[in-house]
Amino acid sequence: MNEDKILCSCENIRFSYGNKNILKDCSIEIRKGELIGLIGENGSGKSTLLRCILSLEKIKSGNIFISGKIGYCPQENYLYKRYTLMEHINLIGTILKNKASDDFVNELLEKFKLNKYKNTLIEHLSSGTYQKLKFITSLISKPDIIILDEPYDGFDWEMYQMFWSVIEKLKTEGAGILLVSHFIHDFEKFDRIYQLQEGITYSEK
Amino acid sequence: MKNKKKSLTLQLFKLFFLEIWRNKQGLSFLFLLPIIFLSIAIYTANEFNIPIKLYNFTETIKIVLNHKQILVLYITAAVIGFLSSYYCMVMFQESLSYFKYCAFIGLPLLNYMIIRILFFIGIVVLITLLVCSIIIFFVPINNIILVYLGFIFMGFIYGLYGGIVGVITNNFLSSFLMIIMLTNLDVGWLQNPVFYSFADNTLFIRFLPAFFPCQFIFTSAYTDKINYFCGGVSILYISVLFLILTVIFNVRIKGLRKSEINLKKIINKKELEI
Repeated sequence: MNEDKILCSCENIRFSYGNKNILKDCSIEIRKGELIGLIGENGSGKSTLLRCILSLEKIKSGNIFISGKIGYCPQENYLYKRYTLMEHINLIGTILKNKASDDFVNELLEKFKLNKYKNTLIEHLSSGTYQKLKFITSLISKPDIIILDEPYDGFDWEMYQMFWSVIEKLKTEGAGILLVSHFIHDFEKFDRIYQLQEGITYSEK
Repeated sequence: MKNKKKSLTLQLFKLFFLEIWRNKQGLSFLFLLPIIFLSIAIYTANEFNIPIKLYNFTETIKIVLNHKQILVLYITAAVIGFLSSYYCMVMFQESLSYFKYCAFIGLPLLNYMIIRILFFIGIVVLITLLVCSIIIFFVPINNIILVYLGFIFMGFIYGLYGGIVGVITNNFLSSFLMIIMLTNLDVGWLQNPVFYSFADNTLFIRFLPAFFPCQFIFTSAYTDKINYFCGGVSILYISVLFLILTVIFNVRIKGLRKSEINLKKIINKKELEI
């Protein structure tokens, strides 16, 4: 594999909350056009590892190399309930230095059937629709590296398939994707899988 | 770039206004609380005269006020204190995780903070004007401008307290209780001039946040004097609370980006770009 194609590389990441060691030795590599799965038990530190990659947590030791724009879909419900869907999209679009074209965003809204909710307050969205909006938000910057933390919670079957078709398309366009999942039937979609066990990542597949 | 900055500022202004407009609970508090509290105060108060003491650092001002004169002003102070702290708590608390994300993807925090503070000032002034517009019909006020100013001091002090509570805690119920408890204990009880005038130990009461604005308001409303000392200390309180809010807010919202510096040190390869 060509070194230049590496978009994100984490080597021997260690992280702890106080005295509790959460991540003992984690290494992950995301290459261009690659879909990586991150699996592990509840509470194994998957989300923490993602937050470390994104520099949202201070690591104790290790190296993180990032090359390119990052799009992040966190697990938490961070969207503000008093804004409408479009107000949120517009604000995020204005904040981002380089965002995708309006056509790309509109296409995503269309694909995920969000057009009819454009003027709906976020507090009135169903959990599936809320999740779709979070996913789309992570793509507005047209990122090179996409980090998704359990992104399809609450999706119906049709939307779940749409999600994978969008992921496939982004992958073929060269994006590197890291996805946290618990669904065993998703595992075959991943090019590589990292399993996080007792703070250590094991590469599989 | 300049256009983008302008557009972001305008967008934030619009969204912050909509936040307040869409908070129906807040709007109902804003209109109902002053009416309910002041109606009860006016309906229940009598014209009985009570001697009270007002604090002015070098001297103790002694005046005689009737029950209604005391009750109307101190209930107004309590309503303004509660409304300001409620609004500012909601303003900072509800959207904190959202703007944390926005800060993470590149929202300039200075822009955000300046607009938030402008809204904070606007909402406190609006609450004060709304509530104070009622009281002038019921009690004769000596220096209305200074009384307004005193209520604005009260609004700022309690608004900043509400903001601090909102930034520290994520839970609405516990923070709502925190503002209710302090407003009730301080403005709604210990700052009642009757209670203060006859209290055995006033030292504790003097350290509570509503003490100085309350003394400033009563001196301006019912004497010819200007209570510079209490006005000055109120401004000092506001400055200190503002500083605390700014620091805590920055720590909370930047929590996401604090290690970016660390990351850049480690990477030094290509700059992190979101």
